[in-house]
Amino acid sequence: MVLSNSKMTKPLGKLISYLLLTIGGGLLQLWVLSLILVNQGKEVTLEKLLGDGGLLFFSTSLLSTSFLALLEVKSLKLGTAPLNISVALGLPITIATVVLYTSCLKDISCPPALPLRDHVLEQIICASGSLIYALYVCTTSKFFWSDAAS
Amino acid sequence: MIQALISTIIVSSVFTLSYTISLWFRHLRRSQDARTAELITPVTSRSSASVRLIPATSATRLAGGDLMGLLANKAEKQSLLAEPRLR
Repeated sequence: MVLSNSKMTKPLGKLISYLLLTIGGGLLQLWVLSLILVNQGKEVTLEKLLGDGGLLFFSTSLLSTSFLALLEVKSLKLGTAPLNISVALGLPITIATVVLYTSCLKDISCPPALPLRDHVLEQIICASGSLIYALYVCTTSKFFWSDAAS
Repeated sequence: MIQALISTIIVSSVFTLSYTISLWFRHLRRSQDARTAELITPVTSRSSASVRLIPATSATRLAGGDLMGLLANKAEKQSLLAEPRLR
């Protein structure tokens, strides 16, 4: 294995790029909505921004893609750290999301405008958990340490 | 139920984050070791065309061993040169 200074990757830079793209791109609707609300002169609140459950969608989407990425590089054998972390973090997030969606969207014929406005904190926790899981997957799969030149 | 789930997510997140940070430090240390080895290996194995990855501890040990070997050779040569004079 040949390793030279010019080919050494910058893990911290990659981490920042990853976070910027994931948070900036993945939560684009939040930024657009904030801009629209500011433009209209309305008050920007977390209830208005996250009331539609956009953060739950983001967290489940990030969780599933991260899990697929983990499956590509690691074998999820019984007793291994990747499996344990996936179960310990992925399963509660998935169940919490299902519970929140079903509890708030029971009456699908006439859904409220902001069905998840009372569950902002839960959404933020789910999204944070998904982001941490995604960071774990990127770290354990050595994504931040992969050689850009190869 | 949702409170229990949220508590589980928080605990798991904290554990995963600490584990991820430890993995980060492990990777960074390995990268640093590799870089150190890259600087030292050409001195220790000049015959090798490629740069091998060896841990820093091994690299320093090898470098130290090489230095000791060089000093020993020098001392041996000096003693060999000095021997005829003594005779």
